[in-house]
Amino acid sequence: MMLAALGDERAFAELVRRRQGSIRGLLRKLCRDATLADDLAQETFVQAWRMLSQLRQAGAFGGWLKQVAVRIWLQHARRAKLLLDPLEDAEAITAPDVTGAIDLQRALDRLNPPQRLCVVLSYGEGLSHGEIADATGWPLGTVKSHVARGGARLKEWLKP
Amino acid sequence: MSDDSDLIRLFAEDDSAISDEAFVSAVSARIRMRQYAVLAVPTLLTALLLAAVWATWPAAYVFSTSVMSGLATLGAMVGTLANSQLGMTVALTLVATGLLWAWLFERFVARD
Repeated sequence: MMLAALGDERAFAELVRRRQGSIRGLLRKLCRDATLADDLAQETFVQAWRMLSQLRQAGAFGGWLKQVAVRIWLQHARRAKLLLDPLEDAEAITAPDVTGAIDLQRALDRLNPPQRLCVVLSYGEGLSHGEIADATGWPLGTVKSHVARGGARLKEWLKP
Repeated sequence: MSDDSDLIRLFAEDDSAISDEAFVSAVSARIRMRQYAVLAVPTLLTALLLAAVWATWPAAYVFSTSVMSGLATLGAMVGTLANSQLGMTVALTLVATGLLWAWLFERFVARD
């Protein structure tokens, strides 16, 4: 970690090797397209390489890297106009048109992007509502609402 | 599914290990490309500037000397103003406005 922060490319490649699973997994849950998710994951590591010297505590690298990934995804979502209104009422979302149980990824794909992000960070990554608000820059109340509504929808859709 | 813990468990079960060397190589290649770009862009701009100077000589010489002398005159005027009471007042007003603007921006815009 220290070597990577000093510009050692081989040390950073080892960090990428160890952390790629969690970052690619996180972004694949957020994106519907695995290729796009991997592209954003690569961009996450490039940004991390550029900003590594700003990281104060080596032990916080994992959480910091996830924050970078969230920022990269949010930038992509804004460019793709996926976040036209993060406060939009999620009631407009339709339930899956399949009967019976569906898998987690398909259920996540049905959530609107802000809800998907909040649900994945809360249930998948174990972040608190405050940490999600910090990572996304959204108000705490909005985050709580997205987690509650998105979580309730997932539970409903994933009923056995 | 009714409990949060069921959902958390489902997320944990869904975490398949994604890991391959091609991804590491792709990240390294992307970093190398950015490093080359950081070096290449200023080099290219300098080369283009030199080519433009060579192509337009002596007009480039006349233009650059007149720009330099204009800048020197402007610098002397700013120096004279900065040493006057009016100059100090203007500078302080500008700094205060800048600080106020930065505070207002941080307070009302950046948090949106």
